[in-house]
Amino acid sequence: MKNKIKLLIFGSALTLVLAAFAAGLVILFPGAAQMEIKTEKGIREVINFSSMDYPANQMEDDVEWGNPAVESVLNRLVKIYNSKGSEAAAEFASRRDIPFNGDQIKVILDADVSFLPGFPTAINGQSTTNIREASINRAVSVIRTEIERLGGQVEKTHRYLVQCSIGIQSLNELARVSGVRSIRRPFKPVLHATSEGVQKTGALHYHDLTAFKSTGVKVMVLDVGFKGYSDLLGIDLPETVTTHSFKDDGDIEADEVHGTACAEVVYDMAPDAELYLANIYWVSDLIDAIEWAVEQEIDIISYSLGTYWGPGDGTGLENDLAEWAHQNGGIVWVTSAGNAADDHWSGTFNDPDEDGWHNFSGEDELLSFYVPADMGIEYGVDVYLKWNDWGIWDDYYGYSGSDQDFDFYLFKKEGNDWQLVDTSKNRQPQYKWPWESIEGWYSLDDAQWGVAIRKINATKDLFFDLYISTHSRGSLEYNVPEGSLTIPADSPYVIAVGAVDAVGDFYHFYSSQGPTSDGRIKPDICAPSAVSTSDTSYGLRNDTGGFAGTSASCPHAAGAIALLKGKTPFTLEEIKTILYSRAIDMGEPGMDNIFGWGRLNLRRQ
Amino acid sequence: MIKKSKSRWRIRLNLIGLMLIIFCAGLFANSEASGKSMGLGLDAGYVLLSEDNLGNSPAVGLNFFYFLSKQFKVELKAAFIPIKVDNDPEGLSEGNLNMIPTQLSLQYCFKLGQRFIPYIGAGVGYYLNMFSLKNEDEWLDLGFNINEEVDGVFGFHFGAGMDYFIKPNMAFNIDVRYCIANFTGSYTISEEVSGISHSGEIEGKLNHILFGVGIKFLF
Repeated sequence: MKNKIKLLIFGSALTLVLAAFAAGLVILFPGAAQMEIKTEKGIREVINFSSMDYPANQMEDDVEWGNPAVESVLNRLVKIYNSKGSEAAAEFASRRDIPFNGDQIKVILDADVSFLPGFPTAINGQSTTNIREASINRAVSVIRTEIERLGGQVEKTHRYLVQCSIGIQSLNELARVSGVRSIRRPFKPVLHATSEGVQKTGALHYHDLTAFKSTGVKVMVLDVGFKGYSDLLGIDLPETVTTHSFKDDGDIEADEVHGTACAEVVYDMAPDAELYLANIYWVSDLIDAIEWAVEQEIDIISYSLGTYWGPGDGTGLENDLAEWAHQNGGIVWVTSAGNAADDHWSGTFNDPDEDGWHNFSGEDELLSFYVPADMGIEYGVDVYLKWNDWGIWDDYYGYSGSDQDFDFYLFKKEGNDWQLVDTSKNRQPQYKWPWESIEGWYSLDDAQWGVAIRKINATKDLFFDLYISTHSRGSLEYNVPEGSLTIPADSPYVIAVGAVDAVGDFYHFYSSQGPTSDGRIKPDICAPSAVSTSDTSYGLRNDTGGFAGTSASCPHAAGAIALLKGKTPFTLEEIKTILYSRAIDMGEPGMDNIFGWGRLNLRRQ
Repeated sequence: MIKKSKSRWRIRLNLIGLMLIIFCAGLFANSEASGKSMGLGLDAGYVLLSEDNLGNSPAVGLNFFYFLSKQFKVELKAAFIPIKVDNDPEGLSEGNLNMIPTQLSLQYCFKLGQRFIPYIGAGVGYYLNMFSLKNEDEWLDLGFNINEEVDGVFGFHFGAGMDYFIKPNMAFNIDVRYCIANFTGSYTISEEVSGISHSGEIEGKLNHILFGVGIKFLF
């Protein structure tokens, strides 16, 4: 007994000594603290940057800044072109998804009307639509003249947006033109057998019914490519379809089966619908695509694409186009909610230790995630950051922009050390968008990656949304699935569709959740995912897993709307109400931010 | 319900009008065709409809005729024509239309001999229509209540024919007439879960050529 007491006393004393020693270390050497803490997801590292040397105003490849109104990655491209030549610049551009052919670069300009003589210095809400439209047209006209003077070519315009190609040597001069607010890369949308969803939703019961007082229905599947579609005509697609490519090269297939699978699902759901297949490359291609849809008298658009760029409050280019399509063509636009629920973090900027770095939790200033190397597949690693300071939206002038400057860092763990891989350092307010992005990296082996947020010059504590786009398998630290919708799922003029399993009817973990950043409930409905398609696209569910994602759910909903439109005289708005009322309620009673009104259902309940 | 009442009243008015005509005609009756002044006939025929979504159909008929004079006779004819209907989004939906025309004709007979009597004629008629929608039960199972009705309509016709007397009181008859009638109707579809309902009007043509062969008995 005495021995036991002695042992207990000795053990307690030793523990106290060790704890004091550790605490002393932390107090004396706080900067590079790396602790391991155990969470329900496993061992996590806590990274603090206080004592790490990352100069705020310098790029890591030691180049000077160009024009701050130009997206930082484009400035870097110009500098690489000037210092290392065309080939090096082309390689950099390829990795960072910049449309650059060695000499010419494609960019998006935001026009500014404030330089026009006599223009009000503030948008006071009293200008008429005609005045606003005339003002922006004048500004764009001035910019067009300057682009052409510099040897460039305007490709398309839409209100405040100008897309052009110009020599890379002229980019900085273009940024100094009066009327040019900012210059950025064009964005590309990201991607979200007979389908099991046909049986699950009850669509099958309608197929043999003769249409009642319907004059038919036209559905446009808008995607990035329709590889192999011609081999499926008369089998998994209608005998004939109408196609149109809005890509510069006119390639409707574009070596991408995503659109083919979407079209197959629409056909499975609504075999009598007239199908129009259209593909885009840049988000700006949507402008022409939607105009064409209205001309063709399309009833429904199925759009299984999205971006992260925008405040997520139902404003922006895509919402503008959806509203215009609805008002001018009566078009119902159906979109995938996004596959970002497990790849999203959001929160208010938090810097209790005032070292300029955001603390994700406690002292942890690095948000980490794991990317495996599966059987030789190299997964792309793209990360995006935005904050809620987009300013005032005007559908002619765009967003007024942000004056809060934050930077974004990407790290990769090599051995036991975290190595800085890349940065995004757009200079707000000259570069007006509250946005940073790092793309073009690949995970060549099993690795831990991490991102960090740094305040450069900001006076507000803002709310951030951060997305990783890679094969993380739900490993994102401090994951916040709420508010993970992609654009345009936030638009009040689109039907956003979440994903549930086609057989088991359970929530798919990646399906983006609402609410929108202005508090509206989204998605609107959820529909089957992980469904069989032809071998041309994603194959059978039991073999390959089939076609999965909210990309698969979207055409089920679009097809259901098309099915009722093609069989009954109900209007599209009435059909939406019918589908919402028939949806199988899931999750919390009523409409919620995971399932919307519930799982798509065409049977009577 | 209101439409059915209207149909009944139209039939009643039709019959009253017919009786008046016969009464008036009787005042001028002077038939010497065969010493008989009236008769009954049965016929079977084929109907060719002008609208693409209305299928050509067989028909059966019953007629009563009365000679007003040597040349003029009046005929009251009723027929039954079952028509298969293909889907027309702006007209009738897929289903079956049973048309019962009741036609009153005034005919002029040419005296070319004792046995062979051709005639021409024209008249008015009332077309009673009963429509049944295909797949009505299947729609109901899916929670959609559909109702589609076609109204009875008036029309007119003209044509020609021939009676061939095989006996003094029995004749073979061939008759062809072109009938002109437009129809109107309405539909409603309602969805039971949301309660949303949609209704509309329909209209179309029932123009047709009726070929008939039959036999007539005079008394």
